[in-house]
Amino acid sequence: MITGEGFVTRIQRKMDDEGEEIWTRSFILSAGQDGYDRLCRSAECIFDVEMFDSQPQGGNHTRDFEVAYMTGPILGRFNFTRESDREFVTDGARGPTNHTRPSDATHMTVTDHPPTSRTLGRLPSRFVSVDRVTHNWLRLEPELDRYLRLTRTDYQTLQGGVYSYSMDQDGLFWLRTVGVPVRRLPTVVISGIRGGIRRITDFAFDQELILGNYGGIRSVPRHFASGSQYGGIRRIVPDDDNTRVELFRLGKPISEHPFELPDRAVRYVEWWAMHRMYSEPGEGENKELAGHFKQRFEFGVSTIKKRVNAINRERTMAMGSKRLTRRDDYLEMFPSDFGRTRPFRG
Amino acid sequence: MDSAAQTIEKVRLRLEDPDGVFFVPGDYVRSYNDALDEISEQTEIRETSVFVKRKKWAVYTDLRGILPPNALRITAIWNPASEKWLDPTTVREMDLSVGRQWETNVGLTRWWFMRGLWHLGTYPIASTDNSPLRIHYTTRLDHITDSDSRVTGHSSQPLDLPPDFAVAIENYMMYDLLAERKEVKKALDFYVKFQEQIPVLKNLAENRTRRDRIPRMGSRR
Repeated sequence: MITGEGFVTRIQRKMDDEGEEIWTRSFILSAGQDGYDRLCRSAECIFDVEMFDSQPQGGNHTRDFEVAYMTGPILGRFNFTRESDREFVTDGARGPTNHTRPSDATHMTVTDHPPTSRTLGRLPSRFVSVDRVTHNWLRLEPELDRYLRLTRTDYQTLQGGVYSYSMDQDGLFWLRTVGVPVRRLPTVVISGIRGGIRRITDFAFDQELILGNYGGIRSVPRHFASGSQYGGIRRIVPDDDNTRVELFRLGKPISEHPFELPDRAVRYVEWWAMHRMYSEPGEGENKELAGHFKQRFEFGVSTIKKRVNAINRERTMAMGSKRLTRRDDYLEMFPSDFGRTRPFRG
Repeated sequence: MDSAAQTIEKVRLRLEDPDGVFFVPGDYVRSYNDALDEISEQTEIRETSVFVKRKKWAVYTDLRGILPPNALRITAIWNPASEKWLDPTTVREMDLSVGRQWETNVGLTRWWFMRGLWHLGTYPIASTDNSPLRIHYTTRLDHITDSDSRVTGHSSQPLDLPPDFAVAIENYMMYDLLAERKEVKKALDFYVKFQEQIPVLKNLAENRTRRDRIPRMGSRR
């Protein structure tokens, strides 16, 4: 894996500017990050998984800034305690939450208005696109908010089966499951708020053979190591009764992490950085080379796209060819909502 | 085909820099390697394979650190347990054909798919940690190094490539190094020459054997 430092050094040599007379290291690094982000956004090449659990919502602070002053467990933020309060609060308010720990829900009756589980899940800020969402192993259909408003008036509050999701109405980073998942009490008691998981006695994992005596757990059967290839596991959210979001994301900042790309693809990023450097007004400006390297970067992006989709080239969809037990499913069913409703035009 | 040392010497002469005033030997080596990368990516002439261990019950195998960094694209996967090639598929197909909870089905793996560049998905999933797969992939050609005998000239052993490739490498190096010297017009001319050679090399790589003609409706030609 190529690091940000190695990337900058190579470009400096290539541009014959090792003394930083024209371009500074930080400029080259930021140009590289720009190219890296553009490539990942356009090619959707880094896959990751984000899990949202269905625990009863628990809140113990009402403003984001309070987190900095909290010493104990940090649960959610809450601003109202009953569903009926929702119409009286302003945008951005979170709730309803009427207890301070998920386990409190076991002590509440129906008349206490026990808390529901979350309806929204926050995606990481570096996500590019959501590819597939499941809840309790069932693939959810993406729906337009307009369609939901037309067909299910209580889709924001109705608890029960989760069959679809929407990303239209709650901001760029929020994903809404429809309906509201039935709350699921936590099965694992977490002691402390920091550190890696050292031992698992739940999820039937206690029968797993442990290799070595010390250290954090590195891998668990059926658990997708989100976020990074390395490091210990911090939290496990099983797929049963919870929501899994399979997404594509940007690479991590190259100032702190190595590129999450094959070495060859880092060359494409290099071309974008060179495009930016030649475009910069001043002594090193050269419009012709800037345009040339931009073109090469775009060619590289299209190559990566093809490579990501290359598996389709290996598929042989031919009449009479061997398909084993699989069926050709194209147009087996209509799309769920027949598209966005169009305005009447007389 | 010329050895790397011969190609580098030719480029050095054409750049009129025999005494290394502008370029150090490392520049030529880097440029030569860039040319190899460019050619191997566009023609995909080199293919190799690697065994990949899988974890039990895991749908996805993260190939980072398993596939070498010079890998370009996975082309096929062999399952030694069943002694069969896996069929490529997609997640959409699994959702529609197998249905809910397909990620938990355990058995002899028959299908594979990719998510992004690194995550190899297989179906059905493996029940033990001892169920490796052999992954075939295209890769870049091996780089030369400063201390490589092919560069220093102690050996005239040519690279294992057809002779047409030497001219392409030379043109790419001229483009790359002239661009570094800010001789833009000349550099771009050499780039055009290099690009013109690529289809020829691609054709050479793709059509080096006659394919059996089995007419089949809809099959890839």
